[in-house]
Parts: sequence; C-alpha cells; structure tokens
Amino acid sequence: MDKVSKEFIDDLTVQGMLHCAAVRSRIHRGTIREIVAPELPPNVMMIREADLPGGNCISMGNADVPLLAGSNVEHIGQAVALLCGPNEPEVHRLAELVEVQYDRGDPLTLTRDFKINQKLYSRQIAIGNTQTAFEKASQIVEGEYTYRPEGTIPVGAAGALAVVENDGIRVATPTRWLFHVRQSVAAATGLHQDRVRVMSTRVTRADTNCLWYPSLTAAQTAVAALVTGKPVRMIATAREKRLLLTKRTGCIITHKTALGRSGEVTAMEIQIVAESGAFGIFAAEYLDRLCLAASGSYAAKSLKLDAVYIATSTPPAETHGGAGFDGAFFSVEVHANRLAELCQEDPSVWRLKNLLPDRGLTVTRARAGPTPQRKLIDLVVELSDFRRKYSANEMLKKRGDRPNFIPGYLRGIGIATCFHGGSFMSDNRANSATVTVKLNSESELSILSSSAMVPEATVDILSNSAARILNIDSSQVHIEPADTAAVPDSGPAIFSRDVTVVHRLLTSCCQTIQKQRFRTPLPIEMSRNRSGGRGRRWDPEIFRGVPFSPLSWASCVVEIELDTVTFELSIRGVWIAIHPGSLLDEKRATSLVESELHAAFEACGGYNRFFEPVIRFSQRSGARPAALEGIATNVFAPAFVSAVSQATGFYFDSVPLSKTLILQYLET
Amino acid sequence: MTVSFLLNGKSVSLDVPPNKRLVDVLREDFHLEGARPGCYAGECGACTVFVNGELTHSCLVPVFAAQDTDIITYEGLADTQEMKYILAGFDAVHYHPCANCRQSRLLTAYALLTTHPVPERREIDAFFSGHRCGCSSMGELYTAIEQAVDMRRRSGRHGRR
Ligand code: FES
Ligand code: FES
Repeated sequence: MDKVSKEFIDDLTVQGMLHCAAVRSRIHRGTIREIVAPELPPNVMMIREADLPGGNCISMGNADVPLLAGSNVEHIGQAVALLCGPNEPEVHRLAELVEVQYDRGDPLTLTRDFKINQKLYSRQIAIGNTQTAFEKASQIVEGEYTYRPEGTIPVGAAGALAVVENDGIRVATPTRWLFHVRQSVAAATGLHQDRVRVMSTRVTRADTNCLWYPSLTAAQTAVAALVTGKPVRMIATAREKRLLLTKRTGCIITHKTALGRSGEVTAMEIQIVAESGAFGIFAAEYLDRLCLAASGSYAAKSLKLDAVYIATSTPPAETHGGAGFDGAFFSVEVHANRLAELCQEDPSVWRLKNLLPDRGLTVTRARAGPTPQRKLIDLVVELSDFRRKYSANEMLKKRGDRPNFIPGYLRGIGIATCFHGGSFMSDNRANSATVTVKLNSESELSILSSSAMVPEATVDILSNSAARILNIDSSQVHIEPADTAAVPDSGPAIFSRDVTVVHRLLTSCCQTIQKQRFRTPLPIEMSRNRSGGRGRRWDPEIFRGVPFSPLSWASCVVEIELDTVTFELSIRGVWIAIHPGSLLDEKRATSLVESELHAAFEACGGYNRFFEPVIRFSQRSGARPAALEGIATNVFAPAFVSAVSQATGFYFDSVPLSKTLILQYLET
Repeated sequence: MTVSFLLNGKSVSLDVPPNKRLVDVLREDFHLEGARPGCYAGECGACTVFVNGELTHSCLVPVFAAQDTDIITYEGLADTQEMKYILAGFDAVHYHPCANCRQSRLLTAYALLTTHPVPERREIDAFFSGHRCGCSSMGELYTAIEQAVDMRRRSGRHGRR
C-alpha cells in the first residue's frame, strides 16, 4: 500500500486479502422481505445491514446514501449485502446466487406527473407580472424539452482496498474527493476521522466522474475489512460499472414565451422537473444550476419559474462538468432557435437582438463581468458561414418537399450559446480548498494538495506555473501523492476546480514564497485556503448578484448531413468559440474541448464520434482562468438537435436523439 | 482446462477456467499490463491485443478460444523500431492518452502504420474506431500519427517490420 498513487486500484493487492462482491438489487424499488443465501463455504462471509459496525449511511451533497439497503430498495443495483471471500470470481458467483425477496414498488421515474413523495427540493422565482405580459403578447410559443443524455462506461477501474491497522484503517481508492472518502469511511466504521487514512490510487480522465461511488465503495470495503479482520478489496465488474456509473442528470423543461410585435421576448414561464437518480445527491446544487441557466441569456421583463427536483429509482448520477447547466441550456437554446424560426429570423440575429445587455446574466438580475456572448456568436457565425447555410437550408425546407422525397442528403445547421461556472453554487463544504507548498534548501518545491489532478496534464500545468513563478525548473517541482495523512483538503476535483481553485491557491503560495525566499531562510512552507462561502454577493433566494466568478462563455454551431437513403447522420462541421477568461495551456484546453464535443455527440444518441471541430478561444488579458470542463457539453446538444430539426423539418426536442427516432419521424 | 498458445513469440500453456477472459489471463496469469480491462464490453479498446495478426478486444475472447493462436501484446512490440517511432511521435507532439488506454493505442497505431505506412485520416479513424475515449482528441491523435510517420520517413525506413 505504499506506492498506491501510481497504481490502478485493480492492480493493488495485499497479502491475505479477501475479495468483496455486493449482492445488488435487481428491482428498481421495493421492500426487502428476506435475503436467502445459498450455503456458503466456511471461508466466505456475508455482511448484512445488521452487521454494520457504524452508521448505515454516508452523506454527500445534502443527501444520505445507505451503505446497504435496509428494508427499502431505492434503485436498481443498490447493494443489499456484501460477500467476502478469498476467491474473486467465486464471491461474484455466490453473490449472483443470493436470492433477495421483495415486495415490489412502482419505480420512480422522471416525468412531469411525478408522485408527491418523489419531491426533494423546489424553487420558485417570479419577476414582474407574466400574466399581463401574456395577455398582451403578439405570439405565445410553448415547447417541452426532455434531456436524458446517455453516459458511457468509464474505462478506468473502480473500487477500493481497505486494510485494518492497529490504530485505525487505511483505504485506497481512485477518487476525485479524497477527504470525502475519509469522512465516509469514518461514518461507516464508527472510527474517528484521525484514525482513517485514505490514499488515492491513480486517477485518469477515463475514471468515473461519480463522486459518490468511490466514497460509498470505500466505506463498504472498510466495513468489510473491519468485520472480517482481513484486508478486503472490492472492484466493480463491467456490469456494475455499466449499471452504476453511467447515469447522468436529466430534466424535462417546459418553456412558454410571450413575444412582442417585433419578436422580442416579453415574458417567460418556465417549469422544470429534474432528477439525478436516487437519494438526490447534490440535488439543491443541480437545481440552482438549472434555474440559473434556464432564466439566463435572454432579456424579458417578467419571468415565472417553477422548479422541482425529484428522486428516481436509478443509481445516483455522476457529477460531470456541465451537470445542471447542460439540460437547462439544451431547453433554452433549442427553444430560442424555435422562437427565431417562428419570427422568421436567422437564429444568430435573433440572439443578438434578444440577449441581455452587457453584464446581465439572467432575467433575475444575476450579474457577470463584461459578457462576451455577442462576440462569440459573431465569431462562430463567421467561421461556419452560418447565415448563408442557414438561409439556404430554410429555403429548401420551405419548398414543401417531404424530406423522404428528396434524394441524396438533407442538411441542417444549428447554433447555441451559454455561460458556465466552475464551482458549487450552494455546497460550501465542497467549495472550500487548501493548498500547501514547501520550498526546500535545494530549491525543490513540493505541492501538497488532495486534488486528483485529472486529466493527467493538470500535473504539468500546475508544475509549470509554480516553476515559472519561482524561477526554477519544472523538474524541481514535485506533486505529493494524495494521502490524507500528508496533504490538506483541496475539495473535489470536478467542475475544473483544479484550474479555477487549486491553481489559484498554488500560484498565490508561490508568489508569496518568491517574495520571501531571499530574505527568509529555506525551507519555507506556505498554505492558502479558500473558504466555502460563495461570497456575499450572491443571493440564492432571489437569484440576484454574482453566482460565479469568473464565468466562462461559449457559442457553438453544428452542421449535420442526413443521408436520405441510409439515414446515416454525419457531422459536417462543428465550430465552437469559447471565452475561458484566460488559458493556462491552449493545447490542452483544445484537447479537452474536442474530447468533450465527441463525448457530447455520443451522449446525444450513441453516434460515431469522428469529426474535427474548429475551436477558437477568445481570452481577455488579466482575466482569471475560468471553468472549461462541461462548457462544450452545454452548447453541443442544442446546436446539434436544432441542426437535425432544420434538416428534417421536424421539431426535435429531446436528447438522446437516436437514428431510430429520426427515422420514425421521417416515415410519418 | 489447459490452454496453449503463442504469447509474444513464446509458446505457453496454462491451466485455467475456459471462460476466463483473455485480458484477465494476460494480466493475472502472465502479469502483462499492456492490455487493461476497461468496459469488458468491446467498447473502449483498452484491452486491445493482436490475435493471429488481427487487432482484437481481448475482453471479448474467452481463453479457450485462444487455443493455438498467436497472441501479441504491447509488451511483445515495445522494443521494435516501429514502436519507437510511434512513441517518439506521440511524445513529440505531447499526445498523452490516459494511462488506461496508452498501450492499447500504441498497439493500434502500430497495426495502422505497419499496414498503411502513410495513412489517410479515414484510415486512422477506421483503426481507432474500436477505442472510446473521454480525454484525448482525434486532432491530437492525427498529429501524433503524422509525426510518427514523419520520424520514420526521415530515418529512411518505410514502415514495414
Ligand atoms: S475492456 Fe475490452 S473493449 Fe473495453
Ligand atoms: S485515452 Fe483513455 S479514455 Fe481517453
């Protein structure tokens, strides 16, 4: 267990280690009547809820997640019991043979007619009088947009290894939130946090984005180690990864918009139903992100927003960069394209007319710094030749030919724009961070941070920045392994926090050391922390103030082509312009955006992923680096779906948008 | 069941459950780490090896099906000159696939360049269509492959083993 940070969890072994497999629920929801195990060999032990030494839950993002289903099953795949034994395939085989008898309940799903017991959080925002505005409207446009993207199985191994020691317990797991694992293990085992040591194994971008899974698995593994008195390792099987680690947040959003005589938006009524699986992990956070994005970008005098967050009987969702924003921008931007079409305007022109004035972020008067959205729209329009292509496609559509009578190809082009924030809006604990650096007498710098630093390129970005400030070679910079016994809590490595938070604290430490190093004898140690409070400038009740600082922005154009014979859909071009504040490494930022665009295409319906996007960054000198992770996801789906709608002449309003669905429409 | 095959040029045999996946056999029984299990579903490509000269997802091969085959993993090619050009090409343009996929991608690049010495982009796409990735871009991959081709060209070699 000593060089764990360089190892993959499934390569890590300890002598005498047992393997653990979870007995998982095969139903979505219900009450457990009985767990009937087959006759178990003497060296295999089964752990049920009653055997747990500590509490039966870990807490994350304002939600309690049980280690094992007690009497109720909340989602398919939920662990009901654990089996531990010396032979890995054998424990998995036995886990399959355990029979769990249930009284089945109706699965909770994402629907507008949700049950009252599904409701976890709600939020209402009202600005002005929408009723009067709707009475006076020249046109009222309504649309319902469903966003349930498809996640993909993470390539990296998932799981944990726990070893009981004299003075406590040691756990290894690939995690993006090291200290949360420690807190979870402590809660599950009943040990004080000081007696729990957590080390992160190698984490790559190919590992899961789920924050909950490593914490829960580590807690389960630690409990198994405590109960059996032996080291225990639990590795997710491919089926478990597919079942538990591919869930994305989803939502159904209805927009009702009042338009004035010249097509300007006068009022908006928005209803949101959103979910992120069972337990509602980070539900309040996602809901706030959804509300912010849904009320954003376009000017209106009045707004009525009703949002509900519900629990569903699916595994909890991953915490990916765009979580919350992606669904909201999907609805806002597809709806905006539709408004433009009904006003018979080019959607880029319609946007430029209707965007909020500079520094305005939402109708609720959330504010931003100078807003570069207009500039970004102009840039992608120019790069993609959007206006000419859009009007040509429109003319073709207006000829009235049914698409399936046009031989050859149908083409469509779509545009979308968004803003993006890189921290938590409501979870103070998740927002706080500490970074420590030490410069020794050999001018070697150690960076102490619990951040997982994914993608791996982040390590170079941080090392190079530190080296530049201190005028040393980057080979003299060492990033210490993520180990709770050695590094401070830097919070979760998601939402680009490595770049927006950890990098900032690191550079601040280095700048201070640089000022002191020739006056104060080496070694020098310096720590900086950021407290979780979002700053007093944001009012979460009325959504007024500055929700994120800094913000990033993007505009994207997608052009598609649909073969009318084979119905093969291909991307003709993707153009994306991003304002990321400033960039730390343009090449790596480009690579991140490109891979996100491909992943977004896949999430839209499992399409072939190869296309070469045109990516442009517009930076502002002196600006701080803002979040990039998730921004391409926010804008790709609405631009893509609008492009398919233009090509086919049908209004598509959902993700995923599969080939089968397109075909169904074309055949009607 | 006893299964025998050629592994990186050496004949090997082992007693193993017949349905154990080839990727697990390579890792656990032969301690070869080049092929890694990712999705176990033939989607991610992290487990890629050559079986009888064909790129194969070793997670989809039960070991009994490997009887009498010729299996080559990344380790078997790591010291070839061709692989050195590929590695140099990847490094020169700072193309860093994640640690889970790195070796399988090198292996696929090897397969590509030994059959298509100067590949077109659609050929690169075709060879890499068996790899799913959430972290590196196709643009980077194209440049890395082109760089490897260029390095080999400058050394006067023509891309055959
Ligand atoms: S593990 Fe074989 S393709 Fe993913
Ligand atoms: S290279 Fe491994 S997931 Fe991208």
